Amino acid sequence: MQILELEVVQFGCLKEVTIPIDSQLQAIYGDNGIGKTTLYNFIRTIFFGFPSKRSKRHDYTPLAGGAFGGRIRVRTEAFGEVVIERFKQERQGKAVVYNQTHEEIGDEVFLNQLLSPLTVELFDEMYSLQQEELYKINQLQEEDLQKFLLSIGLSGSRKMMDLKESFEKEQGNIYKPNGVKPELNNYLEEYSRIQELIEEKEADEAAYQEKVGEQLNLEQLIEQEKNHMLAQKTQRDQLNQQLVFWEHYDEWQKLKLELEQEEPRLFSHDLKDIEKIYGQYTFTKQQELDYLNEQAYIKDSDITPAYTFYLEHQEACQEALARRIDVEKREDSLKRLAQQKNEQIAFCDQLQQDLQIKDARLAFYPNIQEVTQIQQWSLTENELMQQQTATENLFDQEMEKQEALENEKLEKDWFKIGNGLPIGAILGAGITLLLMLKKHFILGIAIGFISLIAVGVAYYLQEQKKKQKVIAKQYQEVSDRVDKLADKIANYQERQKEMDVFKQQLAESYQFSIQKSLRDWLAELPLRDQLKKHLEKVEELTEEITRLNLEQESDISRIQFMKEWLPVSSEPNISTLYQALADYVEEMEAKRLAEAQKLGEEQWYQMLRDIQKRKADLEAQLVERITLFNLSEVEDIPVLLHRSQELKIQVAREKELRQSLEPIFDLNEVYTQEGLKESERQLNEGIENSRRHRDSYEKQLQGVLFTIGNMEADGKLPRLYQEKSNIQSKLEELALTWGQYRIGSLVIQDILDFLSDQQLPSLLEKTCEYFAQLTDNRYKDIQLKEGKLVILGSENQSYQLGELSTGTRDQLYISLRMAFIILQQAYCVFPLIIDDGWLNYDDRRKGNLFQLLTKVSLEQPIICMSSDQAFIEYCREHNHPIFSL
Amino acid sequence: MKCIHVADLHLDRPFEGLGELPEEFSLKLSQKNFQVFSAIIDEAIKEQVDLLLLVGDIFHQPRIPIYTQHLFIEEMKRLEKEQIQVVLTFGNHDYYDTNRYWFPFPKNVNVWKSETVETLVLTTRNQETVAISAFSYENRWIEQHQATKFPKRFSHVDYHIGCYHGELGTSENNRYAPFTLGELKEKNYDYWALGHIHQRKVVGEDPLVVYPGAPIGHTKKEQQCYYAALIEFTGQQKQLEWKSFPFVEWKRINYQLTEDNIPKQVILKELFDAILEQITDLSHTYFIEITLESSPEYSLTEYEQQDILRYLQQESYQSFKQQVWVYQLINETVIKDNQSAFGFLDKQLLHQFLQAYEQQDMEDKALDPLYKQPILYTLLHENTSFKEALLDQSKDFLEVEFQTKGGD
Repeated sequence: MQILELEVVQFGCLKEVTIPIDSQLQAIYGDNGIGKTTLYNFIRTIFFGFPSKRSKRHDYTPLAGGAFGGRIRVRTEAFGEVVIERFKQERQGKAVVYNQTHEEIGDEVFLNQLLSPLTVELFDEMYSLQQEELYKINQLQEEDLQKFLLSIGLSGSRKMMDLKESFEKEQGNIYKPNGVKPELNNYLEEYSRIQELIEEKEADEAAYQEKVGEQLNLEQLIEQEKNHMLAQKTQRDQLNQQLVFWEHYDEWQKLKLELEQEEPRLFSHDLKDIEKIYGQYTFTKQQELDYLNEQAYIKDSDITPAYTFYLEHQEACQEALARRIDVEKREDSLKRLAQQKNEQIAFCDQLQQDLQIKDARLAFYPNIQEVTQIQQWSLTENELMQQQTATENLFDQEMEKQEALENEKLEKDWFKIGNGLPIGAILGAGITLLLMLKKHFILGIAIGFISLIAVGVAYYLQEQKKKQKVIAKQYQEVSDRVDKLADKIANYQERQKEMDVFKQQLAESYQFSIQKSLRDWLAELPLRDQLKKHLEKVEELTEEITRLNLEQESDISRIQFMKEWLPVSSEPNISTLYQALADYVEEMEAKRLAEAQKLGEEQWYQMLRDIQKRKADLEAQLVERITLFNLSEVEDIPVLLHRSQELKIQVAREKELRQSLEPIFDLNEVYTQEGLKESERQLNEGIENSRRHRDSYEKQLQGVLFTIGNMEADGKLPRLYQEKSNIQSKLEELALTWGQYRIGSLVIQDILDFLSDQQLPSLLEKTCEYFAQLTDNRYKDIQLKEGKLVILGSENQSYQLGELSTGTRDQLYISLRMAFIILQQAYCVFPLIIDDGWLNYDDRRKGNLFQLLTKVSLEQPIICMSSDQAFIEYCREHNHPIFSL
Repeated sequence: MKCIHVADLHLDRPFEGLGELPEEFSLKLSQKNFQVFSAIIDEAIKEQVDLLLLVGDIFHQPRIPIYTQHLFIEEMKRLEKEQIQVVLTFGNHDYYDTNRYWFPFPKNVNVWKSETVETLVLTTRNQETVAISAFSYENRWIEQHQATKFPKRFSHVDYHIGCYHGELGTSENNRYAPFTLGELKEKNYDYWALGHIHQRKVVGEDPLVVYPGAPIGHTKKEQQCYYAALIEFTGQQKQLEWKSFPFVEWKRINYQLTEDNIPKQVILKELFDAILEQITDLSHTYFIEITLESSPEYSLTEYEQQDILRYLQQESYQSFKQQVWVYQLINETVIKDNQSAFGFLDKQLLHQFLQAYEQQDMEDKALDPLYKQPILYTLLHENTSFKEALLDQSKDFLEVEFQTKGGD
């Protein structure tokens, strides 16, 4: 873009000024204060707009008011000549672009496109060269100067470097690899903390399964212990029963032993046969005896009314007599039973007396539950008794103490008399003194003596008083203790009462002696059981006797019809009656036989022989049968039969016992009372152990269930996940911000690197060319060594920037700026506007500069505003147009 | 027959991208997932559905906390009481592993545990029969076309439903049981219950093929995620009704910064009013993102933005019963022309330079210092969206910086 004409309508101190730009190098001359800087700002404003209100730039609003702005005519590649117009009052200060025929062809945006890539920044940076800048360079130190020059040289903007630096600073504010303070570091720490908590918590969760396993295991163990305990309790109940029935078991065992030792054949063989044959045998033996006696008897036989009656009732008599054996047997049985009954009754009476049971017909044996209750209470009772006795003893002791102390206390009143004694003693002493003075020596001494005794007694009484206080205190303590013990006793009595109620009930129900202890009651139980058994026996016997008596009575009535012929009293007992009957029948029969004998003696002998033969026959049969029992004599048979009878009873008893014991004892085992008691003790211990185990398992289970419940209700993990997510998003956000600065700084570096690779060599070459020209070839090269500019003199001496004089530095700066603009022409063509800065140069330097400007202006338009007369002269000489403000 | 179809609940998933939150708000959020789940169960009971279909990704974490499992089972038991059957399959997030589940599932829960497609015939309370064909993930990915393994519609049942957790399409990157609509249609089912995609979508009308979407939006990308599908089958007729559970809503606000509203009080008031406009029900929770649009000359400094964000966070959190959280304030500077403060360095050139960071330079140069930090490495390394976001943001940022920082 080429500027053709500047038309200032009104801008600061400038008004209605039109400046044609006719040449590549246009000089604008004006003295200081005439408006050169104003003109520069005019150009800036028309191209890039009025500065915003916030801006600190100088305000060029004309004081007189009116149109504020102007026009610049330029030539562009795309549109040819156009006019850019801008007034503050019009279009809100926006520009308008007209073509040659004054048609509006664009607005501000269009202008920006026209200027592109030139921006106000680039304009300020590149296309204006002002005196202040040179002044500024002179103030810079080596390092800053380096940076300053390089930034111009490399990118055309040191601001890029500043930007990069600010980005790096921002990065550091957000994150430093080993930092603590930056925000991201802080959040990282927080993140690790939460992550750790989560890991801990998740590890805890793994324990959950373990806990559930523990729960199942404990539940199983508790079930096991419960079952175990139940089994033991059942066993213990059985043992208790076994102990209660111990007497029976003992009896059974002995009986069993006895029976085992008995001849086994006695059980297996029926003795009825022997009994029957033996009966016949005794009968036959008697018959023989009768026959032998008969002979003499028959002779004095006579016919009597009794004989007549007999003959008339012979059959009935014989029939009645046939029953005699039964009757006698029954009678024997009755006697035996009566005796047994009496024995049993005697037993019962004895037991009843021992047990102090008033009426055995009423209940006296508690049921099993009650027995168990008694057992439980018995333990309590014992304990209670001991504790109570102990406490009562203690109470009595304390009471005695209390009484003793009370007695001592009673004496107290008596001691009060002692209060008067000291006064008496003083009085006595006074009198003694008086008497002594009056020379009543003996009386004086006596009264003095008495006084001394009074003093002594008073002192003693005083001591007693002190003791009294101590006693009072002790008394208080003792009474407290007495009260406490009384409470305790009352408590025991309370429990005693409770137990008494229980006892009272049982005592009433079962006729226990209320005075006896429960332990005694338990001890009574086997006896009571025995009593029960005996009473049952008595009952049985009574029944049997009654039955037999009825039978006897029927047998008595059977022979009632012939009673008058029998020589017996009016109320005979049955055996006498039957004896009489037998005698009567025998007598009558003898008579009849005698009658018959008369018929033939032979016949009688024959009969006797028959009998004797039969007897021998029977005896032989018997002997044969009893060899089985290792017996040989017939006389042994009654003993055998008796034993057999006895055995039957014993076997029955054994069976009865066995049946009652079977549910309680395993009868194949052998028990001892000590063994049972030991087992009971062990079982109690076992039950206690099981209970302890179960309690401990249950406690553990509670704990485990609590932990499980807590874990199930613990919402901490989701919360931690949320917190972690919060921090994570914060981390990502910060990483993003950090990243944008990071990429920003990297990109700037990349751009700088790129530019330096592309531009620097040609830039330095150009700079060097200009710099040589400006310095009359005193310096021949500018090199970049390790990122630093080094100047080489004509004789290869190298200089740091700082080593150059101010003027030389100016020259270097100007060379660099010129070179840069020349190189930028590929991108952007725009006049360089120079506000002079060489007033203090010497002529030679000025000459060099002017020559350089001329040289550069061949490629690059330059507008040079100056108040330097020398420059104007130079322009005139070289035909550069000059405009005077 | 009626059923509710839900997928992608992600029950343990936290709400993401919210920044630092007040502690009690974090706590409240950690309970939000189950609040929604409970509400869905309530709805199932209220509607007296026959079936609840849970099609994958019910849980989010690789390890499921006991608390979550416990609550889940409790909800299942509620359905059991109502005799509502549940179909449960596992997706790519909660892929099935026996060791993860510490509670026995109640009897009403029919669980698919294998990749093999299996079919179960259930009988509803009205004695209708319904065949369910489904599969579960056993690993993070299933690369095979599962759809082809589904059986043809059973002829002896009243309805046949397919449950499919996977991604529609057959692209190479699709490792989530890829399928095509044709493959599904071919089976002649009455309904296809899909899962995996978090935005609800009716993929096909005949038969109905439905992604119900995630019923809980866990990130700002899941803006409209609060639905479950209720399907009523009457013979050949199928009626789809969307049930919404908007307990959590993600909202966006755009705000233009112009010269007129420069006074800060005005900006704050207008932004607060804009937030108020978004809130319709104070029993719901709102996450709000605000974008400030401005041209470079009106754009606010970073500190001003921070101040505004903090003010709005506090003010809206307090004013709206602790139910509203402004989680982000985005500054969007609009650059109208293609100019740079650095002359030759225009947008194109800048983009050229930035291009290097789309590839290797991003990790090797840009993120290297962060990658040396183990936590950041884990968070960022695999996260491609982070890199994309970073590049975009850097581009915008540098454009603005290059245009504005050159000025006065």
